[in-house]
Amino acid sequence: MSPRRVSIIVLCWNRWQLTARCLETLRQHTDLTDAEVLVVDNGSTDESPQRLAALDWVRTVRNETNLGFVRGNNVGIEATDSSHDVLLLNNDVEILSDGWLDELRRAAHEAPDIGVVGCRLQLPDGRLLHAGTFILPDTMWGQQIGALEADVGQYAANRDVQGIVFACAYLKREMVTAVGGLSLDYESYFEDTDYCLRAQRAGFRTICCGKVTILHHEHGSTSDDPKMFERVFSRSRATFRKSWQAELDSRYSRSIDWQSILNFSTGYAMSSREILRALEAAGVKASYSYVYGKGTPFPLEEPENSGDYLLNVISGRKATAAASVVYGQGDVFIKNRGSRRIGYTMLEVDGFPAEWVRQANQMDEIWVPTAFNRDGFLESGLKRPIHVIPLGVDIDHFHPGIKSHPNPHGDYVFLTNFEWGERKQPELILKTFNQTFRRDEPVVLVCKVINRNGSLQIKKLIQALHLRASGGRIAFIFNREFPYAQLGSLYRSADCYVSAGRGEGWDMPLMEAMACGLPSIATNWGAHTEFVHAGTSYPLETRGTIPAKALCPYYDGFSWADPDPEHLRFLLRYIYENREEASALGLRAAAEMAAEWTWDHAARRIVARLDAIGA
Amino acid sequence: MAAVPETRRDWKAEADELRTVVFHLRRKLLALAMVLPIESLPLLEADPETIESAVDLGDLHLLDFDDGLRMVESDVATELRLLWARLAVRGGA
Repeated sequence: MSPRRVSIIVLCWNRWQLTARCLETLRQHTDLTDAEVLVVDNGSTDESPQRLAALDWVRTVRNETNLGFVRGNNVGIEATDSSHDVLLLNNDVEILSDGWLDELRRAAHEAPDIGVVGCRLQLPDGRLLHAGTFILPDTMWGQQIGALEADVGQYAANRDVQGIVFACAYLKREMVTAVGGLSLDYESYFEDTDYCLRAQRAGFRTICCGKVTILHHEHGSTSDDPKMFERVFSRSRATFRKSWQAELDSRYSRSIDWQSILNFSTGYAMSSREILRALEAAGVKASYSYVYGKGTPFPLEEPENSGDYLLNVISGRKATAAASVVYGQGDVFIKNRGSRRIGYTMLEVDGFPAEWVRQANQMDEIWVPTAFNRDGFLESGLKRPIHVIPLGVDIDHFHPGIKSHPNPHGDYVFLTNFEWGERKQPELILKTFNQTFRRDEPVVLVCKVINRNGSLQIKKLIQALHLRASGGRIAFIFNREFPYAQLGSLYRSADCYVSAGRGEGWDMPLMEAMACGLPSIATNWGAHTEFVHAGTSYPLETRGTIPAKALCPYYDGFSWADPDPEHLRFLLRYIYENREEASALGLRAAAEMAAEWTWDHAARRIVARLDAIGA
Repeated sequence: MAAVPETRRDWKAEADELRTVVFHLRRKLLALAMVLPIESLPLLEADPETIESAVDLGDLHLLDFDDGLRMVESDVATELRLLWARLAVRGGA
């Protein structure tokens, strides 16, 4: 069966150079066997009419005056054959690769309820501009997902989104028949999200197709004139608010107050950000407040700006929910101010400090991410109900298709990523790697190391290990802070990830590396055994447990693992010599992460728990 | 691999080429001696095993190690490009 024919509508108004470039790349990269190109000239007064008339492969419809984006596109839609799908394309885009139209068409026809398909938009400087859009009822201000992140291949899957920018919008005919053209209530701006919401109301989903990326120059005709932009934008926003405020508000079926940490580089903060995003997507209206500060174990004041629009909005919401979660160390549970009080925590050893247990016993219930922590809490004297609510991983930014920067010399690269300290036991991997390999072997260990402890001199500590100059080569990336959206690129540039520490509360870097498709070596003890097993990684055997001696006072009196150096040595050499097997194992890990361990999964567990307690 | 010299002229050309290599190596060695700390100079005349035991990792893997507490905002592409270049300069990469 031949594919559905598509009418590609390119709306233009003057600026022939833009239109010419768009059409040139369109023709270069598009199989027009099952497509036609229809240019709607919105009353151009430059050379566009004459130039278009000379293109025999383009059908042109001319409006005598500039009707604007909405009416101009509607003229195009009305001029299409009623059996065709429609693709709206701005004239300030460039098509980058062959097969783009087939991918969009395939995505649109993957399911009968898919109505609108957008794609990734990239800026000329290589940054990502768009992977879908959303508008929050709090502000009614459109946001583009992924905007201005370095484009490392994130958002590569086809994902359901609230809306897309109509710089490139594939509209399936069944949906066009049901919904009609763009709303004439808008001159420009908000008409695209309005259309997607109308499609949804008619039973059609909007998705962003991650396999297609096109270049968007953003030369909108109104954004170049600030006064005109302000006038058109304000009017459209007011119209959108009137049409959709109530419906967007009604999408929240539950609420939660989240007391935690957000705007620092800590594990709790990073996971808080992801949990809040996932809860929003799951229809949970969350408010956020900082749980640390003066009088707590982390006395710093938190910066107000998270650098993320959604999180800033959530931070600005008032706490009104019945259920309040303190997500952090157990010695701040007592700051929970909700009527239904939940403490959510984790720890890297086999028990919990007495103060944490004391405060936990004042909560209505406790959440921990793993059965390992549940058992440790109960053995430490917890009397309250406890539930395992796992964390997750961001598979939009951590997946095997993320762009890599491989070693140009072809060395096999082991990667480890940790903050220097007793728990991570860096001397084990450094010494073992150095002893396992020779300097002249094409293999290297890359250590991404963080140190925030002024009493440690890392260089001296490494020198004290007396690593052999003739042994395996080790290179360091020291105290470098990368944008979170780029971390997948670091993992993808390695061949194997090593997490040979003594204990973990979750081990997010390990999970991220696994989601990127890296085979991994991970200590076979502790919280991360929740998601680490021999089917997806290389568990590192231990010689049992030993007392947890560290600067961190929370570990006093508890134990953690003693990873076996001989087994680590064996695994390093084995993986190096069996890299194809290891690579296959890594891909299995990525598949399992995507199937079972995303933040959406985590949010669903929270939603289920909120439902159970009637919050 | 270069062809095996067959004539006297070939042998002479080969010898001249080797002399040039040695000349450049001597120049590099002299340049190295000028920049090395004075206490390291005896190592230039030591046997390989002595050098191995005297040189610790800091001389090799920690050449660019910027110890300290300051966190530097960077990007993955830049850091990896620098890292691979550092490894190449150190040899064996």
